[in-house]
Formats: sequence, structure tokens, C-alpha cells
Amino acid sequence: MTDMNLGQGAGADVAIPPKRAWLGLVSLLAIAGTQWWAVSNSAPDRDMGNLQKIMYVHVPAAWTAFIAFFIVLVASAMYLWKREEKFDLVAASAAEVGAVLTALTLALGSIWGRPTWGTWWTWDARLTSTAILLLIYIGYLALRAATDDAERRARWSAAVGILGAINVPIVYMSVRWWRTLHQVQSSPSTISSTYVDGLRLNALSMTLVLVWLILARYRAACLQRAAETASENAALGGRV
Amino acid sequence: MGAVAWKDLAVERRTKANFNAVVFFAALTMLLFGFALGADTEALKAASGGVLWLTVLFSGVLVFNRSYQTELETGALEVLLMYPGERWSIFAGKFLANLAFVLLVEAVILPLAVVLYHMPLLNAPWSVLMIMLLGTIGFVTLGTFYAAMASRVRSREVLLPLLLFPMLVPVLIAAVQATSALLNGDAMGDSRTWVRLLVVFDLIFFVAALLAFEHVIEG
Amino acid sequence: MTVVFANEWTYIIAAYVVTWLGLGGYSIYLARLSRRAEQDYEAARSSGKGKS
Repeated sequence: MTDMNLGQGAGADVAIPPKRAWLGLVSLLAIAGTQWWAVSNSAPDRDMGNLQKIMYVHVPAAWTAFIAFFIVLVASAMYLWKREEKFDLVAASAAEVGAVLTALTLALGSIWGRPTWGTWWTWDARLTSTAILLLIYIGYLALRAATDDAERRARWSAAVGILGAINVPIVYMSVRWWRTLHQVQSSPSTISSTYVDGLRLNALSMTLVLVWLILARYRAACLQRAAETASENAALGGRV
Repeated sequence: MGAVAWKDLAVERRTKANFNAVVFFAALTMLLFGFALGADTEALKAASGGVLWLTVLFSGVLVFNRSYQTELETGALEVLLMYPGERWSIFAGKFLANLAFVLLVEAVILPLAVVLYHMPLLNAPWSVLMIMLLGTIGFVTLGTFYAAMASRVRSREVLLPLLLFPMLVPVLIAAVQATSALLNGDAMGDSRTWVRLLVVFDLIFFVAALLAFEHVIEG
Repeated sequence: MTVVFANEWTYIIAAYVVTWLGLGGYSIYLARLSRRAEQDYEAARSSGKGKS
């Protein structure tokens, strides 16, 4: 559980964080617990019936996806400011986890939409904006995958991450205007206050899962980067 | 900046082949959309704004990677970067050259859209031209920016659209909605909202791309 | 405007299954990735140390 520090190697001076498997267990138990509590303690909604119970996973997924995106923005900015590699690895980790959560949000939104509106996809403002957000994430990850040089990858990802984040509110606004100009928007989340507790609890527990996933991904990224640098140093004949 | 723009344009003028190819590709795209949408005049008219802008996007995207190509092939980029000049002037120069290129392509395909899609351009010609300009500025800003990266890595042909197109969704929506509204008389004044969105988008991203460019153009 | 199917529980269960499959699947991917990265790291370190 000790931090392994690579003081000597040129380039990779990122400390490798400990494993923290317990956090994974705790957070998964937490969401299981809050989901169970919320589902069993909520009465059917007047309009949505029991379908409202889907909100206890859909809303937290969306909420944490946006937190992840925000982390990408902040970490990217920090990297461009401080040029410390750890910020780049945090951004990349948050982006990957965020992409997974965004995809999950979309899937759950679709599952909710099918019995509610009769179709798997509705071009509703939130769903559509989320799909675009997912594509922005994927572009970010594709750029990273295509760039071999670590320093260049970090710089480029940071720029792309920041521009992508700037666009999120603009995308959301434009899609919303597009959908509401000549029709009434039916919002899927005008939920009565009786459900707020369940939603808040599940959002909190999902945030814990988010933290764990990003930390775990960050650890893997540090190890990968360290291995990369170590083999570079070995190839160059230096000490590791 | 002027030098960079002039050089890019001069290269393009000498090799008109690329310009012609892009224009023919744009025309082809318009035709294909026509086949896909069917021959009903009213349907085509209703779709004309959307088809026009999609054609601009699909053909314009071919321009941006190329604008970095000559420097990449000759290693001139490293030389250019050795000068202590402002990086933003490189961006501005490339932006202007690409903007001129894409606007010229649009100048050819706009009449084509009028003919093929029965686009009632004469209902609001100057407004539509203004929308074309505003939308193209946003398009070329981000295209020039992302191509600085995409042109230098593998799978650049797909990476550029993958990075660029999600970012252009607001431009696409705003430009198409504004164009359609104006061509149909714009009874509700919708186009003003969309124009405002385009202007805001263009300003924000031109500044952002300009500032971020130094981070992406260096080695 | 709301259509509530008689089998709404199908969708509710589907939502939770998808959630757990998604999170679980990603966790497994992370575990595998970390293990691979650890191995690569150890290998690189030992080959470097062995050299000099």
C-alpha cells in the first residue's frame, strides 16, 4: 500500500497511488444500498407509475457524467498551466470514466423513454445533447489513442478537452431551442418532491463510485506511463 | 499572418486541381442527397437548407488537413516555429486561407442548391448569404484548429471529422434553422435568435482556438 | 401523453441490469488493465535494473 515513487527516471515522476480495492467494494455496496432503499420506499408516480424508479439510476449516471466532464476541464486547464503530467493522467482517466457514464446515461434514458413515449429515441434536448457529449468524449479519447508522444498527447488533449467543455452549454442550448421553438417541451424530470431524497442519496452514492473509478483508472494510467518511461530508459541504457 | 495566408492561397491557386476536386465532390454530395431524399419537390425544398449545410461540412472537411500538408511534407513547420513570432498569426493566416477556399466552394454550390433543390433563395438572398458567412466562419475556425493536430497523426481522415463534427452541432442547427426560417418568410423572427447564437459561437471559438493554438502547433 | 405498459417492471429491471452490467463490466476492464500495467511496469523496472 506504499506509494512507489520514481524519482530518478527522466520524465515519469508521477507517484503511483495505492490500490484501494476497499473503496470499490464500499462504493458498490453503497449504490446497491441506496438503490434498494429508494426503489422499495417510493410510491408509484401519478403520471409515470413505477417507471419513476428508473430515475434512481438514470439521474445519478447523468450527474456523475457531468462531474467527470468538469474534472476533465479543470485537469486540462491545470495541465496547460503547470505542465505536470499527473494532471494529464487525471484528465484522461476522468474522460474515460465519463464516457462510460455518459453511455450509461443514454442507455438508461432510452430504456426510460421506450415505455413512456413509445420509441427508443426521441431527439429530446437532453438525450440529444448527451449523445453529442459522448461523441466529444470519444473524439478526445481517439485523439489520445492516435498520438504516441506523451508530451504532445497531453498538450493536445488538454486543448481539446477545454474546447469541448466550453461547447457543452452551447450545444445544450442550441439543441433545446431547436426542439422547443414550435412545440411544447415535455421534460422527463419534473419529479415531485417526494422522490428527491431517493434521488439525492443515489446521486451521492454514485459520486462515490465515480471517485473510485477515476482513482482506479488514474492508478492504471500512472502504471502504464511509468512502464512506458521505464522501458524508454532501459532502451536508452539508463538506470531506472 | 498575411504571409502565411498569401502563401497558402498561392499554393492553392497554382494547384487548382484540389479546388476543383472539392467542388466536384460537393456537387456529387448534393446529387446523392437528392437520390436519398426522393424526387418530391416540396420535400427537397424543405430539406434544402439542411442538405446545403451538410454538403458544406462534408466537402469543407477535406480542405483543412491539406492546409497543413505542405508544411508537413517539407518540414517547413519547424522552420516557421523557429521564428519568435506570435503563434496566433499562423492560425489567423491559415484561417483566412481556408475561409477563402470554403467560401469559394460555397459560391459554386449555392446556385446548385437553388437549381437542384428548388431553394427559394430570392426570398431573402442577403440574409442567407450572411448566414452562410457566419456559419462558415465557425466551421473554418474549428476546422483549422483541429486539423493542426489531426493532420499530424494516423487515421487523420476520420479523426478530423470525429473531432470536428460534434463541436459543430450548434453551427449546423443554427445555420440550417436560420436559413430555413428566412427562406420561408421568418414569420416568427426565429432567425434572429439563431444569428445571435452563430455570432456568439464564432466569437467564443475564434478566441479560444486562437489562444489554444500555440499549445497544439508546437512539435 | 404517458403510455404506461402493463409490464413496466420489465423496463425497470432492464435499467438496473444495464446499470450493473455497465459498472461491473467497466470495473472488470479496469482490473485487467491495472494488472497488465503492473506487470509491464515490473518487467520494465527489472529489465532496467538488470542492465547496470
